[in-house]
Amino acid sequence: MTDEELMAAFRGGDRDAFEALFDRHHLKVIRFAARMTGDPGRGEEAAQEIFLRIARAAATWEPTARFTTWMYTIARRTTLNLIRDGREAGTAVPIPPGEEDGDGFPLHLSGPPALEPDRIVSNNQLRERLEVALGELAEGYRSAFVLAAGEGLSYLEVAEILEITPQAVKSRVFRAREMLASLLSEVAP
Amino acid sequence: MNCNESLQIASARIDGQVTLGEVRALDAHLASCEACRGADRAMRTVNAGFIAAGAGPSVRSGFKSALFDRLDAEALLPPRKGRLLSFPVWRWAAVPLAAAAGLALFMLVGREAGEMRPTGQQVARQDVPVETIISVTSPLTHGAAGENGVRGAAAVARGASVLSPEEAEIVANLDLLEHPAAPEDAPADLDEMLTPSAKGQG
Repeated sequence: MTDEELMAAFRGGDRDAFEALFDRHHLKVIRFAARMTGDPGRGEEAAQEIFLRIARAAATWEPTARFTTWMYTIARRTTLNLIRDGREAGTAVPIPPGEEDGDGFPLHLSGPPALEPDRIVSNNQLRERLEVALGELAEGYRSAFVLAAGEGLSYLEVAEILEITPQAVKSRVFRAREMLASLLSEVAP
Repeated sequence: MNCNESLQIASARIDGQVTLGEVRALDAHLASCEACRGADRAMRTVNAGFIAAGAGPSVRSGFKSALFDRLDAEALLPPRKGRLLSFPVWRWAAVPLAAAAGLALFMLVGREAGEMRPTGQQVARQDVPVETIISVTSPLTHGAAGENGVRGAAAVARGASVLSPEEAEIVANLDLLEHPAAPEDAPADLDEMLTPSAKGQG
């Protein structure tokens, strides 16, 4: 059964359908929330809240909408609320004006020699730095990057979730990669 | 294509969100721009590290049960179906019906078994010609009860081929025996007796 059929069955009173949706997507939701919060523990906490909201909002789900798009929309909003509730005001990093359209300043990258994939994966310091660097991105960049690069969604789906244009998604993901590369190259040995 | 445009396309290519024309233009630019080639490799490296770092998130045991407990507590899910409770109502209704049907079948079979319980005569019937059975169950035989019936049954049990002379006479005079009033009109001689219809035809 497709996600949409399972969702329709759940709305029709089928408990097993919801459980099937959970089994199918809970790892994605936990991973997304962990990446957005930068904390696996909070990621699980967020994932619980996300599935609660999915169940609460089931009646509002439109059968024409793709389930995963709807799910990630809820996941993003829920995660942002948790982040907002858990941190002090002033730490949010806004997207600089004029940067959204892709005409922002070019970053000077230090180049790849120090950033081999194996070294990043095997080096705990770099992995932690990656989480920190991700947390330093503006939420708009982080969401776009996590959804596109982390969850493999198309720019069109990401655009729908973030309620922006596909071109803006393309620009945000690019900027996120540039900034992460820059931040990580600073700590690479 | 300038460097900024080419790097946006390079980023999009990592996500598989480019057209063939964009790929060709990008490759042409990268072939002539050392800085963009380095930036392209750096973005790929960051991407690989990001994906590897987040692959296969660990989930603590009890995560699912804790979530479903919360969902149940808020009555957000249809009730859990236990094994007994999941038995549909119509199937519960079928239980007494099935029991009643079984009991009725048992009683019916029991009664028929009682009726079919073999008696001396019925056992004999299984192996004898129809004519012989008629003779046994004839009014005379039943009416005689006792000795005649038993003897007739015994004769049947022995088979039609071993009739005693007395029994053979009874069989030969079957019409006469079945219609006790017949002797008054019966013909005097044996030929007439064997052809009773000839008299009427004459």
